[in-house]
Amino acid sequence: MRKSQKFKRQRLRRQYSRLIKIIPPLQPKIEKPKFFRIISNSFLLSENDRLTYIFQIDKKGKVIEVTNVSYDILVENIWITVIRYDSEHGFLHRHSRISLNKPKEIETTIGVKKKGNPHTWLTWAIDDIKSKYLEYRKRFTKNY
Amino acid sequence: MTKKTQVAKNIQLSAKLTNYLLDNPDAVKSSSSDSSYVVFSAEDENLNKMNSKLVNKLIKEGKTVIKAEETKNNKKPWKIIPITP
Repeated sequence: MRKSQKFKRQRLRRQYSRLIKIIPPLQPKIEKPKFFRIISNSFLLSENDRLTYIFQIDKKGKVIEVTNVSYDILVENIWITVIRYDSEHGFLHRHSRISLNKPKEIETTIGVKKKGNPHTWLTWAIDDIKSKYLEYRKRFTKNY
Repeated sequence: MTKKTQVAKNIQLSAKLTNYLLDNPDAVKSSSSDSSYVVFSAEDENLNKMNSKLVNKLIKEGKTVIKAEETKNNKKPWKIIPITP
């Protein structure tokens, strides 16, 4: 082998070895647990108030995602969601409708439970609406 | 009983029922999804009277109703009765 070829090989090896260090190793794919069933329950609290819980469970009955926990009110024969929780993006967050005239929602995680698992998030969301539904309703109707 | 009181009491009972359903997935299998639950208290008859009217209203609208009656039995604290129109 000529000297030039030998040096060229050595140079290429050095370049590749630097590249290998820069490129990070592939991250293992984290598979989302497969859902077995969607449970959807709606509780009529009065003629104009409703609570809805929708969540996904796996084969063992373990909650794997909070699809929707919402408090709705009936306005002119249409159910309007005042507040709702879901964990679609892997963490629990709250959607609050601004007012009846503005269908936009404010999405936030402020004051929302961050640690735990979907089961604890579901029970937390239920307890939050249980204790604060009047406040959320007042805020919504005030803006209207 | 005012509507405000009815809502407050129903929310408490609904939360209790949901916690029971979460801990007892078998009870969930026996009830159908996409149904409207109406809760009934083991002690509060006034609330139950008002909630009976809700059940009648839902049946008239052609919706599937599930009556969830709270019992005083610790082993089976809820009695779940589906009512189809």
